[in-house]
Amino acid sequence: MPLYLITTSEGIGVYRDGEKLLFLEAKSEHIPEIMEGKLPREFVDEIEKRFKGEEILVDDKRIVEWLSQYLLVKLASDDDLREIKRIRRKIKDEMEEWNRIRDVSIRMTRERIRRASADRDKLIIQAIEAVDDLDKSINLLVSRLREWYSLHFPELNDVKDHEEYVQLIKKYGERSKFPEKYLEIAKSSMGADMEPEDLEVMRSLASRIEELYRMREELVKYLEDLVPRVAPNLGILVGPLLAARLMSLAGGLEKLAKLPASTIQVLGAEKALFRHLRKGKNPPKHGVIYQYPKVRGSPRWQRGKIARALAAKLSIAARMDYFSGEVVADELKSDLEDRIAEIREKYKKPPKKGAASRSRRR
Amino acid sequence: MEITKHRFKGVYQIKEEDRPGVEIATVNLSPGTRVYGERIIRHSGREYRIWDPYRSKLSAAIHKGLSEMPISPGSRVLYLGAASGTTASHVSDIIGEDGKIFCVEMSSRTMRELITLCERRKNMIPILGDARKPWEYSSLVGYSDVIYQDVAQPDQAKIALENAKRLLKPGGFAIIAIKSRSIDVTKDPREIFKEEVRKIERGGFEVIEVKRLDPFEKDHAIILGRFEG
Ligand SMILES: C[S@@+](CC[C@H](N)C(=O)[O-])C[C@H]1O[C@@H](n2cnc3c(N)ncnc32)[C@H](O)[C@@H]1O
Repeated sequence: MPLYLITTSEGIGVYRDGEKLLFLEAKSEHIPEIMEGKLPREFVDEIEKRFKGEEILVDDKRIVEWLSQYLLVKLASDDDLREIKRIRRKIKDEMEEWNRIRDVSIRMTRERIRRASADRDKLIIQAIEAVDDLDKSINLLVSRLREWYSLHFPELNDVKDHEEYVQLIKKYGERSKFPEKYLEIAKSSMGADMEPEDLEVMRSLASRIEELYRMREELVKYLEDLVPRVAPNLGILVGPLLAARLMSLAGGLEKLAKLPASTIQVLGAEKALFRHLRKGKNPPKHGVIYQYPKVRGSPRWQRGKIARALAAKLSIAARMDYFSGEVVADELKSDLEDRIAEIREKYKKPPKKGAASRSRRR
Repeated sequence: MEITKHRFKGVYQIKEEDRPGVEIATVNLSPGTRVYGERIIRHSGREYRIWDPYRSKLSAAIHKGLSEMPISPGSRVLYLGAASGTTASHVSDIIGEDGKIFCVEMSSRTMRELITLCERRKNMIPILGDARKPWEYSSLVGYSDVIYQDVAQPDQAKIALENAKRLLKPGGFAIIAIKSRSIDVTKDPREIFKEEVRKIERGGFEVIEVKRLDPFEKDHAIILGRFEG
């Protein structure tokens, strides 16, 4: 009759012929190890002492792999599985403490979720920095295109939206080929007439810029997908792009989670902060979180207060994302909304001159 | 409104004046919370969660007259492919405080939602794992009275058998949702269901019933089997 090594969250047993030869009870801290397919060191010692050299059957490939350096273990066959199941059921019926294994499982699952997303913040940082690089390149090239194409059709600069401007050139090239609504200004244009090859090279530039816009869209989509997995709380609270920028400025999710709220508030305003420290200028009230619509869209005298409230919530969100993975952002968001409403109510009017320094201290 | 007991323990039938047809529901084990936006009806001190057959295949199978329901108050259930817990939450309602449900889900993203549900419901345990590797959770689960499986994978029959072999008690039941399109889109669904039934029978099950789920779910069936071996 073979020996069976039976692993359960209640403990590890060695059985022969349905008879219990050894049972080592598991403490709560042993359970994760057992579930990962490892036996606690002291258990292995104990089993080794009693059963060294004897063939032992186990139903977990992972255990067979590493335990065979100490013991003569083999993988259980289908017939063995039936017996192993019977014994496990007996152990479970006699010893299972539901709340204990449930607590451990919940903790382990959180930990696994966290690990599954660990280091993915590095991908986020690269992607958001690529978005910023693209924005800079696009801006540079659009300015060049505007200056260049203005030699031919300066009036088109009334189209303020860069992307739209680029698309028009790509599509039509020659000003007389523009659609109806531009024809009037095209006819009376002050620009010079051009040879087709002069215009062709501008159109070609326009079409490359357009590709950069598409690339940017692709990156944004990618971030919208990735951020909620890595930092769901930050993502919900301020949207995937701003969440990504904060991680990038802090140097990663872990670092962001360990920053005090007051630093998060001015992340991205380092220059202003140094000016403040070195020359005693006013300290910055907000860094990149200025991009949050309710900071940017609020009257100047409320912004600092709203930024501070937001930074406090961001700091909690980052810590939840990094340490536990629990999603509490909806709550954080509604707390923040309440706080913002309060600030707007309380500081409806701009502070009077001279009272400004007092109000800042509050 | 009229609320009556369904012939399946833990399931209720609700007839409301202003709605056509009869709906089924379970009693909310976590009063005051919804799981997937389901309707909640409060009646004589109890909270009923309407169990939507368009959202849950088990509800669809019951609506279509499933002959036997192995999940009942006190059951120990192994749920494979729990997703964010739509069906699992109703199973949790049915088995009640004395029941136990182990929810295996592979996607860590989906698990984020499921884990919140498991924290609220004391009879649920989350397992972030792959149903193709039952040995990785055998020491925790030990055994089960019922396996409910909905993984939408081409090797679903094999997954069910591997889990039954290790974790389903003799005489226990498996409820397996089969999606014909995840096996072969070009074949006639009937043929696919037959083939899956044969595989499951060869693995030691007596197949009690195959229930097609249309119109609630297209190309889906539920196989109910009893494990003999
Ligand atoms: C159709 S959904 C399940 C819906 C769920 N049963 C309900 O009714 O609420 C399929 C789920 O199975 C999961 N899944 C797929 N393959 C799996 C595997 N090998 N192990 C565990 N879960 C798996 C998927 O991540 C997905 O969440």
